[in-house]
Amino acid sequence: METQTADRRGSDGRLSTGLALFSFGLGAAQLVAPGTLGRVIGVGAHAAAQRTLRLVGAREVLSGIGLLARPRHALPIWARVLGDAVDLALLGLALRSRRRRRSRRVYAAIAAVAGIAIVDAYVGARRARRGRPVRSVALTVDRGPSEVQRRFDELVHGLPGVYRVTYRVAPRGRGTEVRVDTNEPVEYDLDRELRQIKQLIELGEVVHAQPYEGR
Amino acid sequence: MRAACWMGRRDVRVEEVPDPRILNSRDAIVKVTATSICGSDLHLYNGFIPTMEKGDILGHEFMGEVVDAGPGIDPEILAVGDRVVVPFPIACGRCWMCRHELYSCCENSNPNAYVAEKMLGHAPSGQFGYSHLTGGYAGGQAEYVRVPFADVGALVVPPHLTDEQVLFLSDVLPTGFMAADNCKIQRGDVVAVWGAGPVGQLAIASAKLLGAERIIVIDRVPFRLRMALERAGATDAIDYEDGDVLERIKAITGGRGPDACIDAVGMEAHGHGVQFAYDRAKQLARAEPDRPLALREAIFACRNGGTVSVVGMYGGAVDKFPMNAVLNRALTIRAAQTPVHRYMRPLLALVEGGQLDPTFIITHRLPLAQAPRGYDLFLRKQDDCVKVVLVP
Ligand SMILES: NC(=O)c1ccc[n+]([C@@H]2O[C@H](COP(=O)([O-])OP(=O)(O)OC[C@H]3O[C@@H](n4cnc5c(N)ncnc54)[C@H](O)[C@@H]3O)[C@@H](O)[C@H]2O)c1
Ligand SMILES: [Zn+2]
Ligand SMILES: [Zn+2]
Repeated sequence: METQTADRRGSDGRLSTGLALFSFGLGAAQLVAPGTLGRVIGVGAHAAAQRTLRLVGAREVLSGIGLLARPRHALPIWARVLGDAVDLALLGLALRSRRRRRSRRVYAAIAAVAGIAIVDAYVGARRARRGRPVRSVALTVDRGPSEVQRRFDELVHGLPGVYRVTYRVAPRGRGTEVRVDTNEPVEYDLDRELRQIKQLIELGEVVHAQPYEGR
Repeated sequence: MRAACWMGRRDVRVEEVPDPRILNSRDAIVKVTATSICGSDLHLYNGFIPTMEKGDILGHEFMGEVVDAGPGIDPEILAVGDRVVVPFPIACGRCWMCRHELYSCCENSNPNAYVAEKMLGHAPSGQFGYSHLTGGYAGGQAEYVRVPFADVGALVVPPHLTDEQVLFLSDVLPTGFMAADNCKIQRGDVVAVWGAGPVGQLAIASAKLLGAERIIVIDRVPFRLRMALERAGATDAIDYEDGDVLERIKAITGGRGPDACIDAVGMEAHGHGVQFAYDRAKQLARAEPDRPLALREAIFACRNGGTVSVVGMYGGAVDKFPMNAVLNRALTIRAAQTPVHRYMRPLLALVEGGQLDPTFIITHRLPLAQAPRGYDLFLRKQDDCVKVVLVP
């Protein structure tokens, strides 16, 4: 039996899926109705603008596929950031040749793309950080899996860098094996905290070697 | 209260320090009535054990009277007023290691386990007065001492036995006994013991009790060799200053070697020649913490298929370890910080029954205030010193 809890990867997982769906929607609009979209964002509906928008739309759909296919890699997300930069540059060029009434729409489009770029960069940074080597701390606690899992679920919260806790029944009467994965560059503290949780479960209190402040 | 504190290399002072208090529910406070200096303390004294801090209270062999007990202690097991002797390893009594009687490897008593793990792979238990690698617990060469997990640690001793009869149940008696026990002695066996300090003496006495027929002791201090022959039960003594030890052991054992060899010397072995100079130089340069001369000799001397039982202390990775001899000659090596709790009750019974009397090793009784003198006498083996008992 193996169970997991406290998987903290959920949040940016949802963000990535959201970005991918957004990419599909935008890309589809650009491919199917480039003229309408061109008018909405203020770049016009002439043939050159429609061609450019179709190309951008195709790229958008590809990047959505990339995001879903490689959910843990930073590369697809940085490709998106690069795409955002290209879009901003194209919009900048469009600005130079537009009349004032249309340029207001272009400004709005620039603001929207910049907003998306910020979200992309944020997700990219998180993914890059998560790409750091993962350290596991494992310990065996002399209790059954349900008790160990319940107590760890309570106590492991708030420890920095813990993103996954895995539980497994240890061989023959040895209790429960707990493996904690972390990607924070903590050296000693996590080990100490986890040992203290073990002490709390096995002994009911944290063991002190010396008087500490406040005692 | 007053306590013997480690103030640096070769610097022990009796200082005024705060009284201990109960910090955990299964703590007891013991008023110390007798404590002793161990060969292991000499390694601290000589500055060979890392992570000592100035002011640390020394001492892991002690006994006394319970003057306070935490709320987690069942009064049926231990109560204020009980007279107790306390094992030097601190053990929770409940973890997997403790339940398998591996008390000196308790998983819960060493708050600095993560430091020890870096050095040793896995961490040993907490210990009294023995560096911060084993938790930094205050020791018992003091007027009072806090004893964690006193309900599994402190052993209540019967009133008709004197302090001196039971004090060594805290360490050197179980250690000497385990050294012999690990040899799996059969009737008629030949056992050789390196080191005629307190641990070596009690290893000899235990080997005799367990049925060894010939017991060879190796040291260079004449009165210690004499004590081993006259009091402990050794049959042959070798002064290693007098020439080649291995040759003489072969001569005594018909060329075959002892069935078991006990290293009761540890990391600060003396010796001669190139090998000693090499180890001494490396140790002084802090490139190697140990001088494993006696250990190497014990391995070389042991008969094929025999056991090398190591209780002498080692502080680091030893150099020039003759693994080729261990492998080619099918030797078994056994070693441990003694899981004292496992041996206390059976040994108390032997002391009570008169089969084992460890008091013969005591040569000096000093007030706690003279702890610095005690350390110096014991280190230099002056005044025929074998074991110093301090009385607070
Ligand atoms: N494993 C444990 O749990 C445990 C417990 C207590 C003590 N110890 C260790 O046991 C060792 C002995 O303790 P002790 O209290 O008897 O100390 P001790 O210092 O009194 O005894 C050591 C003896 O070894 C002799 N010696 C030195 N070099 C030698 C050599 N090359 N060959 C033969 N003898 C040699 C010394 O002359 C001395 O008599 C120490 O290392 C101590 O730390 C271990
Ligand atoms: Zn000792
Ligand atoms: Zn334990």
